[in-house]
Amino acid sequence: MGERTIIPFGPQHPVLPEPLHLDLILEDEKIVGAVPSIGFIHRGLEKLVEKRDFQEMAFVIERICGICSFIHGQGYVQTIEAVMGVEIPERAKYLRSFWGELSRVHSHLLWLGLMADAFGFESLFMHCWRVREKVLDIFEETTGGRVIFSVCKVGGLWKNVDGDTLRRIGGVLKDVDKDIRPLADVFMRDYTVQKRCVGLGVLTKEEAFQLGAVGPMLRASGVAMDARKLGYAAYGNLEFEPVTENAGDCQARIAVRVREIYQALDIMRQCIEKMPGGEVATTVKGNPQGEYLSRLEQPRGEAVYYGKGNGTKYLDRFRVRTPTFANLIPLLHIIPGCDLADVPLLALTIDPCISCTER
Amino acid sequence: MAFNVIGKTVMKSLFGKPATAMYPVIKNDFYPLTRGAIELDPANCIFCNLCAKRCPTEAIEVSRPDRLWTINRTRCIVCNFCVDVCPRDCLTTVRQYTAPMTDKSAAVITVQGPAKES
Amino acid sequence: MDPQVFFPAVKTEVVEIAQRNKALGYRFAQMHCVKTPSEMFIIYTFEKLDLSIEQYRLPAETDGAVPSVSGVFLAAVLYENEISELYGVEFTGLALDFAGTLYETAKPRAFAEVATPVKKTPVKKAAAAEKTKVDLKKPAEEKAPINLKKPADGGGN
Repeated sequence: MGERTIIPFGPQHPVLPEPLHLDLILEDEKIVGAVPSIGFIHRGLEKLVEKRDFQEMAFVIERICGICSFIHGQGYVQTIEAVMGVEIPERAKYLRSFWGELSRVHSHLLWLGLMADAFGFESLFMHCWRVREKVLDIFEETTGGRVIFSVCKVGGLWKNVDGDTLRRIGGVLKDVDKDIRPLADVFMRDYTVQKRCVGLGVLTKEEAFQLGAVGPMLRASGVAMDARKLGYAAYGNLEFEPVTENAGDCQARIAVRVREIYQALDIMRQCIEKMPGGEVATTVKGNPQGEYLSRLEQPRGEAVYYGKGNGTKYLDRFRVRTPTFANLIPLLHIIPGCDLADVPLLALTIDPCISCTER
Repeated sequence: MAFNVIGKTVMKSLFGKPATAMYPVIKNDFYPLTRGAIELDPANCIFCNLCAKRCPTEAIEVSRPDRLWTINRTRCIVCNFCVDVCPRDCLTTVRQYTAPMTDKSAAVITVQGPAKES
Repeated sequence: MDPQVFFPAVKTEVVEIAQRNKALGYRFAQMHCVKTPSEMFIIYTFEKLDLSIEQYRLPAETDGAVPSVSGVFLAAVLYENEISELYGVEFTGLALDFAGTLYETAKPRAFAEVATPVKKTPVKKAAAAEKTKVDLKKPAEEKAPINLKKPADGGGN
């Protein structure tokens, strides 16, 4: 039995986008256990439903996280629309899918940059984020904000995008596709990346399903579960298949996210082609009464939204189960057995969005 | 196994145009829809208080008898809810964001409306 | 949107329901607590590979004891710790117990008290507002039309 030491990891760490604390138990050089500690960014946002009426709550919910902000807003308004029985126009559904997929592209590009930074590949990090700037410019042009869009409301959308802008954006997206190809090539083929990532943090198919992993963590182990197949917003009319890999290690998760970027660009092209005309909002009268649970696919996995109304303009309860919350237990499962230098890579491979986890 | 796959991209970036603009010498334009800050045009304002009631962060305060409209720029999240609910369309969003300040008291802006007729 | 079905459950059969669902191929999706002035209950959601879900509603009360399903589904550990810390429900037989240190809120059982909604009233602070008044007679910088060709002016208001 070797000597055991405990090394703290985080909450301040150059590789973590948000604070997370792990107490790593090492035996000589290998890690044998990890004790997590979260709660650095718990703001109690779910309790604000008691003070903000259901239309204003959309602005609070989309500020849970900066990276996944649009889909949080979409999840909130979708749940409340289901509780109230409101049917939104088709164009609003297509625009929501469009912005959701654009969010996915920007989030995966951000994550790819952080992953490259985690194994020290800074030039790749900067190049990924440079491509991401084009996506953020599209956001600012269509919604007014680069990070927080404030564009979803109960009953539809606040802003419309006209046909000319959409066609021009289609051209920009083709440029983004062209710019990503050499970078994706580095992630998939480069010798240094393979040496660090292949065979690290293997999660088998049964383990991933039983431990509750969601999103690319789950799909990289061979389980084809994607909440977009439920057909919410316009996804029922768009053609796509969940992207899966079989190896279950870090390299497989990188491959899943890279292929999801291409898939998202393709889905956006379909959205622009099939976008119907019309307005983007319906008037909403009355207050929500009843409860509903809906599931959306965030870039990090499946997010569950539960809303309960009691007939007044203040909701009873709004609950957000974010994908990183579900991925924390698989993280604790894959850490034992690796070296100390691999911990940043493993912490990043679940795509941690801790500010989503503790709202 | 491929080596130095990033070489071609790095060379292109080294000899190509820089990706960033030389701020503060060259400033980039904002887009037409950019949400920078909220402004009031007091000529049409009826001081109905809808903007203050709907503000998610309680950044706006309206005083009807004194005809005053106050906004706290550091509390405002520029969500545009007030602009959308204003019945007289006197609120607009300007594209320039609020400049950083060293003194919190500079955050509160008050606008005096015209005196009530009759 | 299809209607949601919530099966009622009792404390004593929670573990049995979890074991039965596990045998049928469900996995643990999520669990949360709802507290209103009139009632309090916990909702369990189980999910299958084809994305179908089954939900159960279990009445609960603060300081009441509920058997934990973490023996069947390890994934339930984080959710049960969160509910016990924020709402004060006690779970017996937890596989991994954080003992109230998961979020470390300043006030224990922060979500267990349901506040009545606060109405926002217009505030009349004429005297204080005098100091911060902006004189609109002077041409302000923002009023000038923004020319798209020139770079934007620096500095705010």
